[in-house]
Amino acid sequence: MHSTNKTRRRLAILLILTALAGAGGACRDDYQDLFLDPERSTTARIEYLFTQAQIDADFPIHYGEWYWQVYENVGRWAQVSGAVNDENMMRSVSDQWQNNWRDYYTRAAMELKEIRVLYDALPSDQQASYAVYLHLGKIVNAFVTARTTDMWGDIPYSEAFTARQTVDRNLFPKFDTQQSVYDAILQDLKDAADGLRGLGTVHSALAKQDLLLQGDVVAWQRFANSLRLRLAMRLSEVAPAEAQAIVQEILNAPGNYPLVETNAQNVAWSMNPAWTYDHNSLGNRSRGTFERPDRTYAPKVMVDIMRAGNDPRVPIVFDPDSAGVYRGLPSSPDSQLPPVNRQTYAYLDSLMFSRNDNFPGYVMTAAEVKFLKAEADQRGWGSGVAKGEYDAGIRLSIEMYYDAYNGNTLAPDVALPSPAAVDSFINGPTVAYDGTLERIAIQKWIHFGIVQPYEAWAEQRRTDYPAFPPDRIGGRLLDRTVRLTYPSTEVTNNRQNYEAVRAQDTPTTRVWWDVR
Amino acid sequence: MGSARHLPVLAPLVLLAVASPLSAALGQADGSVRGTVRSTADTGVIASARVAVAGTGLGAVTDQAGAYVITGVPAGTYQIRVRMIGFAEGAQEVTVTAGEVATADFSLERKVLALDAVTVTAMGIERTRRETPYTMSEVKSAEITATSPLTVQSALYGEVPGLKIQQNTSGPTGGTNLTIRGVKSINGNNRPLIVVDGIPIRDENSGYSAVGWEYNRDLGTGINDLNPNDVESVNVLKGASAAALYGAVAANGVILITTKRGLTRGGVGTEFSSSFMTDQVAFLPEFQNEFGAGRPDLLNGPNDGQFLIDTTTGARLLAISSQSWGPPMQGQMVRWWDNQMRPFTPQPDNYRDLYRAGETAEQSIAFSGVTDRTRYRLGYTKNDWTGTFPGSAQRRNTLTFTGDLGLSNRLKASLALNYYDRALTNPPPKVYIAYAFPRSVKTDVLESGFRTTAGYMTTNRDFPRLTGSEERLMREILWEGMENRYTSGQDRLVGSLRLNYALAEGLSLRLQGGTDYADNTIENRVRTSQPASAGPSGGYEVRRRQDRVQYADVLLSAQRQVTPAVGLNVQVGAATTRNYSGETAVWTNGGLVAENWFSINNSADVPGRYAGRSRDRTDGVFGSATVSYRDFLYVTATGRNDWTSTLPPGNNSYFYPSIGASFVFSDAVRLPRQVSSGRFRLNYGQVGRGARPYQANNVYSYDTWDDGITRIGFSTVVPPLALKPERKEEAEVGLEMGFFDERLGFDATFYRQRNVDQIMDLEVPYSSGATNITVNAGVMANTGQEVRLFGLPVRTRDFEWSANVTFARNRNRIESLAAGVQAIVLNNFEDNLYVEARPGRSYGEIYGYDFRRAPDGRKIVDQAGFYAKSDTLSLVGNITPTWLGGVGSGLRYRALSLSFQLDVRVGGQYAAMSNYYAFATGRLKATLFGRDEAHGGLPYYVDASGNYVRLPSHTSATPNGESVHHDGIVLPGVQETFDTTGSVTGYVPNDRVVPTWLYYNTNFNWKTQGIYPQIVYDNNYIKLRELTLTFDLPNAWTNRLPAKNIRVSLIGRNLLYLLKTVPDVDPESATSTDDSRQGLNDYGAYHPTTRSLGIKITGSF
Repeated sequence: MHSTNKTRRRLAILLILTALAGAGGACRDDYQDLFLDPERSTTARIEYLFTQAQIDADFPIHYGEWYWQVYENVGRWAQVSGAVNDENMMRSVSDQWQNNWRDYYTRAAMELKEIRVLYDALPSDQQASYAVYLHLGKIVNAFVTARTTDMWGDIPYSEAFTARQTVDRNLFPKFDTQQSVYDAILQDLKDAADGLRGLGTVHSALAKQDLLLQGDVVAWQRFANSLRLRLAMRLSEVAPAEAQAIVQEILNAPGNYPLVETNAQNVAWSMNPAWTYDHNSLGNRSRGTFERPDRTYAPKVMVDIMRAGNDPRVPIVFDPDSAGVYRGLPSSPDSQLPPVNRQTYAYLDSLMFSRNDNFPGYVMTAAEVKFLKAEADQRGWGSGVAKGEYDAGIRLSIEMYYDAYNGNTLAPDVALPSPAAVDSFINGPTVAYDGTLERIAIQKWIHFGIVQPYEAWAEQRRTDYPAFPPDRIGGRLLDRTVRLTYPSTEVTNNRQNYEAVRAQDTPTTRVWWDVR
Repeated sequence: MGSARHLPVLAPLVLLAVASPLSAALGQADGSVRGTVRSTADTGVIASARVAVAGTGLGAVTDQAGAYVITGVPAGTYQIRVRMIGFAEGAQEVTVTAGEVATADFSLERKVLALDAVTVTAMGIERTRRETPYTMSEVKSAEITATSPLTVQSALYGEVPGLKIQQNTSGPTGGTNLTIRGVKSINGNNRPLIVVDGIPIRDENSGYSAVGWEYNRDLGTGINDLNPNDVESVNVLKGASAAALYGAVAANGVILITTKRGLTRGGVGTEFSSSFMTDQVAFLPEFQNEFGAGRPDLLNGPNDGQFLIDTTTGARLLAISSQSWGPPMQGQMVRWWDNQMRPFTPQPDNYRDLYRAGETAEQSIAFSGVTDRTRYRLGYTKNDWTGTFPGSAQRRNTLTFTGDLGLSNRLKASLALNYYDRALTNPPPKVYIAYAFPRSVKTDVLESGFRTTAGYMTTNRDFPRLTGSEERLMREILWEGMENRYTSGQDRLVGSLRLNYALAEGLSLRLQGGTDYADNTIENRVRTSQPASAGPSGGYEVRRRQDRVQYADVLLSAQRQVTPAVGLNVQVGAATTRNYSGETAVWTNGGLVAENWFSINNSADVPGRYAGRSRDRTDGVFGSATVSYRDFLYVTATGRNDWTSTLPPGNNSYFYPSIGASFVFSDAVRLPRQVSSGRFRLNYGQVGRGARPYQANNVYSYDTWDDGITRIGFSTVVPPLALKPERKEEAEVGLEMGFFDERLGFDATFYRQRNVDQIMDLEVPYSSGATNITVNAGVMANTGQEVRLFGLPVRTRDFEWSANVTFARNRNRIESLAAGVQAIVLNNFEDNLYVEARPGRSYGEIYGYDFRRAPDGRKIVDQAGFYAKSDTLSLVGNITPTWLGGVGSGLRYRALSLSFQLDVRVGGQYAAMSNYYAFATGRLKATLFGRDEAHGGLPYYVDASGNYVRLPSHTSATPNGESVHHDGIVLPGVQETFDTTGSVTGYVPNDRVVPTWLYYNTNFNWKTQGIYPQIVYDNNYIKLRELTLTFDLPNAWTNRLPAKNIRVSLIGRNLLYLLKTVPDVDPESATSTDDSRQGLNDYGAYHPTTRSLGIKITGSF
């Protein structure tokens, strides 16, 4: 009996000790260790962020955006693609545009901003080689910011992008004027170009991490200067003096400010077939085009202009209707005579656009630069001869289009039109340079076409060329959409600052540079 | 963590204080009373009975032998009273003489009150109901297995007021939403904790993803594995006070599952049961069966007015259309997509025929026994389920062992092991096509034609006139179901070991620990679907997931009758929970090189891979103290402190208390004889909880761009600077009473609950640089009433009638969101219909762009003749019900019993996206009007500008010989009139004719002009959920059989709706267990629910 009691007591002590050991064991694994996700890292490297920022800058425009934003909206508003139109033709796919807004503010621009944060934390001996990323970051940032402000006009900018800061965090940034946004990015582009020109060392990983230009710093300078030229020219109507100063600064010092001058120098997102992620996950233009048979007709205004001048690009840009005729689909619903189908109207060339996985994502082309130079000359800001630049732009464009067509491995290559044929086209009565902005603007619009639809829309809004016939439904005139209204999340979540811009938040309010 | 180490050390000190003798002093003793207390039933002695000398404050408690002694009783005559829970009170007079011992023996009658039933409460502590300050809902084994359900949770419908159950559309192997007392956390988890034999098990939300058009499957979750046959009882702890001891994980309530133990007396027993159920799809849409595939605008070629004509053969061609706006089905001979000529006839059952008859066969056997020191139960159940979706099946084997072992007189060990072996094959996927096929589709043609003679998948490369929708149908239902094989094989062990050590009288130590370990392997074999010449196809994927919950706790309990009137019951303990889940996956890319060889080594491109892990742990120390007064008043206070790894270090400790009282007034005051019991409860509690693992991390994600280029990003959700635990507060008051010897009774509860400092990923202006930031914000309150009525109105030897009625109403109010936040979007349908949380409103409201209406409320028709759509969102419903109820009743006549269960839902709406597209594609009977002259269609022609011009009669001539159409309708409504500036000047009745098919294709279209609120319906129903007819074979019949107690049941489940306000779908099915995705279905991601009939036999040896 006595020993049983003793055993019991021992057992009890053992149990209590076990229990305490169990509770004490709580200290073996530190809560701090378990707090952090083992699949993620607390450290980052600038070069890796830079790659992600390039992907998120969405240079080539990916599948979903082609499907919605382009073919549902900008394509038909800029009349670079024809669509079966109804009274909703001017309505924006706002929820999709909200994704652009989101991806700009929370991804591309934020990743570039994070580069700066990491750079500032680098030991000073490493900063020199990493400086290149700051300059390139400014260029990419200018590109995505311009794309955003050209759609919406005034946008939050100077107070934006602070969500990840632990101090001075402002979750409700004010809207800045488009003018101030342009001032900021134009200055960034100049700083980047100057910085790259004087750059000593370039970080060794850049060549690998730079998906757009493979670490070619000179190519980045050309991109920065050409982009600055494009954006300066966009201010030609609203702030001509400022535009002129910038244009002249660039054109007068070609050694300091090299431009994209040849098709070989074009800035384009290569649709590298090895990039299966690019093709499988993000998708591309082909898929977006292929899946929108009712939104990818040949636009009548463009087809008519091109056919009138006997444009050699017609057969590679469009597929004819079943009668072999390039019959463009008019934009106005009242003018769209039924039946509207692929037997009765021409449409965007399938081997060029919808079955061409290799179609490059053009970002900045030599042809555009030539047209910009031509316009500078036409305005009397340049030293060259407008016609020469204009003609060169058309030639480069034809060459670029044929290259893109022949990049398709599914189709046999077609021969470039003969120089004589090109000459006769360029000198034809409806094409030949006549000293007007209209000719330059129309050729640039044709050049952008469905290849660079956002640029086509911006330039058409700036110059009003080509003039579009009114869109009517049942005889009623439809208002033309000239900007996007702010995304609903911004309206509901940034309500106080939105009040300041609410009055101008309509699809018919022109953006700042659109004064013509 | 320092304090956690020290707290358990304090525990014994606390106990010492409690257990030490409070007072031993007694006054001058003049005489004594002694005696023994026995039970009349079995003459066994009754220990722990309270004996009191009335009017003196003197008393004692009987010992293990039932004996008591009360000394120091002044001489005189007294009434001696004995009380013991579970027995009627005893009283007798004795006369005490100085210096002598008077004797008063008692024999108490058993008096079983519901209040005295012992139930399992939080942490596995057993209490009588009368002690608990909160409502308890317990469902017993007999009710759980009566209708032979596949899962435990499906046996709980209508049994527990305040527990809402809704099964996913993916069927019984998929997820089930379980919500106790409404949604508490706006975008957090609202799923209750599931505890099996003391161990919290892994159980999580599951369902079809919210991503549109994503093909995926619902694999169900932890609770699905539990075998109903092994469950002894299910206790539902609803309020904060009831669950408080479990800590953070119990913020949504707890479902406590206790498995069966061995017999308590008599050798070895064997029980068996066998059941067979068949399932048929039910509650199908009301289709039209007059018009088949096609659409008038598709006749853009040589045609006969109904069909396109093949000009070379003159044959009529079946339209390439997924819509049913084609010609009337009158047996016309038409060339099908496979080039066969077939009559164009209605196929009223083509949708039903896609599904099979499902069946469930279950065999179960259990042995249990008892020896002098051990009792055990060993059970085995084999369950084979075949789903109604082609190819879906599940095989489940469950092996259970529970054992109780007396290691010594004071030390007892209990072991519970549940092993589940489950293989789920081809669970019904999220399929978009189920509604998108014409009424002329011949299902047998699809079934015989989905595979080419070469064994590949039929596509429109083989048959150019095969429609995309039929191709999808063949691929997603037939090919996926019959050819591909997706298997989820799981081995899972839920086991626990518990040691109880009686340290001293009224002082015991319990130590328990256990694990829920699941090893799940998913294999996806996608067969080669096309010849190699078209490129590699098919694929193979292996996904291995391990989930482990490790749990241990220690509990020291002390019980002491401080005075005859006052008792004290104290528990102090500590618990630790560690969760781990890890998943690795590899898959082929770009198809298989060698056909149908399922190996990662057979990948055409570089195989893909994934690996991820998650770990977290929460530790807590807790204490509970109950003071009782004369067995009719109990006051309980609890407290718990948790430390968790999911919150930022430095902010990861939190404490929460609860307090409650239970007053059994029927024992305290004399009530009318008709009142047999009465109890009043009151409690208040708090529960805190942490974040999701890693939710508060600020980290970078690494990834690789295709050819080995590292890239990193970070989440657009900004982690919090500091994160506090979320806190739920709940107060509850309740009354329960029994009448007429408990033949009638009710239990009513009122609660109010507030959830504050909710951890949420708050949406911020994207321009701030993030989509969301994780913060503590928002207050949401739930107020509710729960009532359970039970009655046994008739009880004679031969006939018995019992009834059970439950009612639960919950009102939710979002008191605030974070500053400046107008709404949180919980669910978004195609950017047109939203489920939202808005401050000042209740959770789950549905907002949509409705019809645009004139000031007098009439619908506005636009210039083109279709309904105009509002530009602003309006409130069109709420996905949550106003109240839910259940009525269960049983009738028994001798050996024959009939029981049924009705479920009632009132209030709230249902958004049936499946109907939206069923309208658009002209499949529903409701779309018949206006299709032709016979169906009320109006005559019109199309002029040169494409306008629809109405004609006075069907035989009118047209100006330029345009053809006359007969399918026009004029939508009831008004058109606006404008002045020259475009301002609205007034309204005139609409007179524009439009083609019927175009109206449906416009106002039910994707996004632009589609008016989604049209498919938001009031959701009220009364459902006959269960009906069982049971016959107990008289033992005289079974004398010659080795078995006895044989019971045969005929079972019907989900039989019919007595009332249903949502047309064409079963309003009870959801696409996922997400709270915001209840009360709605997704386009096509809807499978019909099933009606089950079957037979079950149980018995014993």
